[in-house]
Amino acid sequence: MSVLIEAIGFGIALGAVIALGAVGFTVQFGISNVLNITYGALLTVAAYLGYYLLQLGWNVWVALAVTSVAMAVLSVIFNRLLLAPLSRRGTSFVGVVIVTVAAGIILQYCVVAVAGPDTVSYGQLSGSTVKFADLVFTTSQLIILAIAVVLMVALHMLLTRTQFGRAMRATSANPVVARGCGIDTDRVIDVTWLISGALCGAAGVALAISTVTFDFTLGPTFLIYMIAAAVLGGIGQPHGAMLGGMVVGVVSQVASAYSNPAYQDAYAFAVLILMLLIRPRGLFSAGTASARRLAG
Amino acid sequence: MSSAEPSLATRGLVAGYGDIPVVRGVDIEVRAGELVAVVGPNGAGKSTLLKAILGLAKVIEGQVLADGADITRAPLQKLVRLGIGYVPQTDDVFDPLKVRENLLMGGYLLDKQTRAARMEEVLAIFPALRSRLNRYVGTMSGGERKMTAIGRALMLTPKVLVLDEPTAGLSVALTEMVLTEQVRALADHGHAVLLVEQKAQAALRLADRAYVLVQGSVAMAAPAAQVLASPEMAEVFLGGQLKQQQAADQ
Ligand SMILES: Nc1ncnc2c1ncn2[C@@H]1O[C@H](COP(=O)(O)OP(=O)(O)OP(=O)(O)O)[C@@H](O)[C@H]1O
Ligand SMILES: [Mg+2]
Repeated sequence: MSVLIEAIGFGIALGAVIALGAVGFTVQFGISNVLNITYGALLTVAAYLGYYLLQLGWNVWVALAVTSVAMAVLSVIFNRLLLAPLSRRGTSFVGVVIVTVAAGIILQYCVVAVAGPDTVSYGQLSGSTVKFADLVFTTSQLIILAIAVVLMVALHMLLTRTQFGRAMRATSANPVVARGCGIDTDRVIDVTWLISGALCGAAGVALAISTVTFDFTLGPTFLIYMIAAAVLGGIGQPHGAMLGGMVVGVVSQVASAYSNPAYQDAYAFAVLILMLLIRPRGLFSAGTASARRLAG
Repeated sequence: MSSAEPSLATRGLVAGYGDIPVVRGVDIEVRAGELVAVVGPNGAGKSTLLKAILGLAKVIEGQVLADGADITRAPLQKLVRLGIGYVPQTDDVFDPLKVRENLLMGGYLLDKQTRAARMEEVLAIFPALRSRLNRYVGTMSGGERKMTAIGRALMLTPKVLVLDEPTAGLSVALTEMVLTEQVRALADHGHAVLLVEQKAQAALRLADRAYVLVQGSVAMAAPAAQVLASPEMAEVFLGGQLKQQQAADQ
């Protein structure tokens, strides 16, 4: 029993990190309709950025916030310089995906060139542990969980309750009619990349905190979990990505507790496939343009 | 009512996609209080003409004017602010948004109170939408979607309304209702309305003036009643269809 509880605890902690990244990914994909695989390498960049700020003696949460802002800006630049011109020229959906894969690989080599191939660590973060019933969490795990929940709720409110959030969804669904309503769609797209870039930055640092040691492969390794969580939750739905992240985190940790940990990914993705068979559009069907593209 | 300059006009407009012109030197104009119909066979370039006016198709030559000001190639989000509303022939709604949200987006440029008040007015025009406000438009019928699309465009009370087949997919009764009670009424209230309509007879009975577009050129420009009665009109529509029918029969 205690094995199970411990595994669930690890799963929730990991799930929060995955959720943070998945919420950013789902907003980016759901609104800008770009399946951006470079997101993985950008997570790595964020982790290293946080690492260097820690080397300067910064507090880890301040480093997370600053990294988040930096990644937000970087993300807008990335879209404006590379992806937006591609789609303006009519590059196909798959064509853009391939470009983001290529850009991710290039960026990964850039990280190696700058930071080297060795593993690094944020070091032991001071902080006590907190017990909920039989679940034990470190304070940093709880802070990450809180950040994920707050950002998810904020995003959900933005998208569904505010006129600007509706404009984001409208732009994604039908850019021509959105412009016909007077929406400045270019600005909406910029804000979308700003938000998802900030989440990517926060998730990268959170990943580095939770994995303790990491190297240049960090982001791409976890990206697949985040995509799984986003798809499971229903693309474009922040609360879906959150729940999806939790499911992926808990299932993989529980599976590894009861079997060979080497198989944990296989179990996690088997559950993903099973759940998608039951609910083809994810837990919360979103009905965004990209969700429909995925659902076929 | 009628000012010196037309609310919307094209001068020698040549437009298309890529470098091949689909619209070949078209002059049309719409004045305030006027309902102007553009009719013509499938593929004549009617939608392309509207898209070129709205900056959505490539203008190769010529001009688009609004109240005499040059708006050629101006982006759509600028034209909205000049009071030009547009309902495309297809893809005219936000599928993943609720009906309410579609209408609220239509009023994006209004302040919150005006937007809510205007939504009530638009719902009074399309009462059928009221019970469907929380439905996602993607799950609605063709007619319900059209009502949402037109309602959305009416949210801003546009000075000039450009409608590309607003009755496509609507029932006979609803077509009649939309054309007489909405489109015609808009013109009677002083809006300038440019209407492309497949149901040419219905449109011509209500319109003030009409242009017959054939292969990208204006084949006839006259008061609508005159176009309706003209032998050319019968030739363009019935003749064309008969010829196609005969070809198919052989
Ligand atoms: N996006 C596009 N790219 C290239 N060619 C196009 C495009 N849209 C339309 N065309 C071509 O332009 C011509 C005119 O099309 P358009 O849609 O303007 O006709 P229409 O008069 O509106 O016809 P309908 O009554 O069927 O709506 C057609 O021959 C069509 O093949
Ligand atoms: Mg057409």
